[in-house]
Amino acid sequence: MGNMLKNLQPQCETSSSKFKMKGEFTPVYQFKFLEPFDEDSTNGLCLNNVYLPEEIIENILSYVPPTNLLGLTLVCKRWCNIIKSENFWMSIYNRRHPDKAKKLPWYVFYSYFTTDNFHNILRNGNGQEQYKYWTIVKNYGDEFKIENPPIGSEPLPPDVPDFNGRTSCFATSYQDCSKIQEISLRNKRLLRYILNKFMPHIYVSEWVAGRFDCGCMYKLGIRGYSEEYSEDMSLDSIADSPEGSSLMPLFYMTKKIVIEQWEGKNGKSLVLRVV
Amino acid sequence: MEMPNIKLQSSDGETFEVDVEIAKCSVTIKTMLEDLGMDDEEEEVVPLPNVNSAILRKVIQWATYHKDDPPPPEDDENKEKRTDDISSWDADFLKVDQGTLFELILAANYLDIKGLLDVTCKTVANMIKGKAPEEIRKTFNIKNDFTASEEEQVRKENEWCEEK
Repeated sequence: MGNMLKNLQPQCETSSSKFKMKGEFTPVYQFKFLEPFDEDSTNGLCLNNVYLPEEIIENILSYVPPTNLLGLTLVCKRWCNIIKSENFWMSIYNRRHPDKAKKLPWYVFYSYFTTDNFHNILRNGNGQEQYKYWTIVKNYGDEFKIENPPIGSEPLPPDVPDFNGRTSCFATSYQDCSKIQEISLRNKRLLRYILNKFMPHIYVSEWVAGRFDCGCMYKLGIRGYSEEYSEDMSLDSIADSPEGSSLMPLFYMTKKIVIEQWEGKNGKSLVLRVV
Repeated sequence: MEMPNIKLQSSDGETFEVDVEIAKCSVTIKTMLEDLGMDDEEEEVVPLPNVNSAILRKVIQWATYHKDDPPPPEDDENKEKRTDDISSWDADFLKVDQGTLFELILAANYLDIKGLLDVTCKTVANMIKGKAPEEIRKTFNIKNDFTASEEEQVRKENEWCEEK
């Protein structure tokens, strides 16, 4: 997790970028007020008539949980300016990570601290929310099951952040089982904007384990489609091989692991990185 | 071995005799002692014109309790873990009115006592957390200096950011 911001490389937006999406997000690095902002005003620096220097207000706000911070921009102009500045977020980052924060706009840090998108864009990767976000495509043999804790393998490590402390997992059967998750960026303007502008790696990761007594093969794949991908395209047709599909993905990656019989006791993490 | 004491003088003229090692948790005092070579002089008085006696008494109480704390680590993998928690002793110690809390923040800032500054700032952050903007303005007596259209603009930009 600590490495994510290392991977964000600010790049110039070019019209040839194949990921280019229509973006309506016009970020403001420092909010431009219609009325010029009175820098000498102590409003927002005086708490109950005690004047605190701006760096102290910054320090205080940096201890407020990141998910709360956007709401605080509406308190007053001073707080808005503090929260929508990169230095403020860089100091939060530096306090939490051993590596130094890169100079990036505040909203990149905000997105990083308030979502899992840059760590693992997949949701509910281990069935802790049952089948939420997933569509089952193939379900042969004894079908998908959600086991908590996994019955056929050693318990999953409890401290993996994705698990939120819950070590449930999907278990498949002796025949083909597959499921698909659609991650739509349609209503995620901030994420879309960041992907377009900074082109960070996209991580997709899942944990898999075999049974004590049964070998298995697991394949994780990701395909990216442009916005033109129409609403009426069914998930099933995407689940088929991209070669057979009328719609070519922008990118396509898979990764496979094979767990031989009697080897499958321990869970393994499978990570795909889209560059 | 007996620890030497030094005398700290508050803005209102009261002097406090403090163990040098405790006083040195303040980087400001530590630097002052080193720069002035006051280390071995017993009768030296350090004037602290920015801190009144009530606050200085609190600061000394805090520093005395925390005198054996390990120094804050420079680079630490577990930094994240220590950001939000306030020990129960500190929480009790900081059950004071807002004015005193802010005075303590200013004193910790001036005396450069990182531990005290962090814990007092965290305490204020906890007062802010989960409150609506209007509540916060009321709690701290802050004016809403946005015009209606400016506020609308901030709100709109925030909405975009909430789409994640």
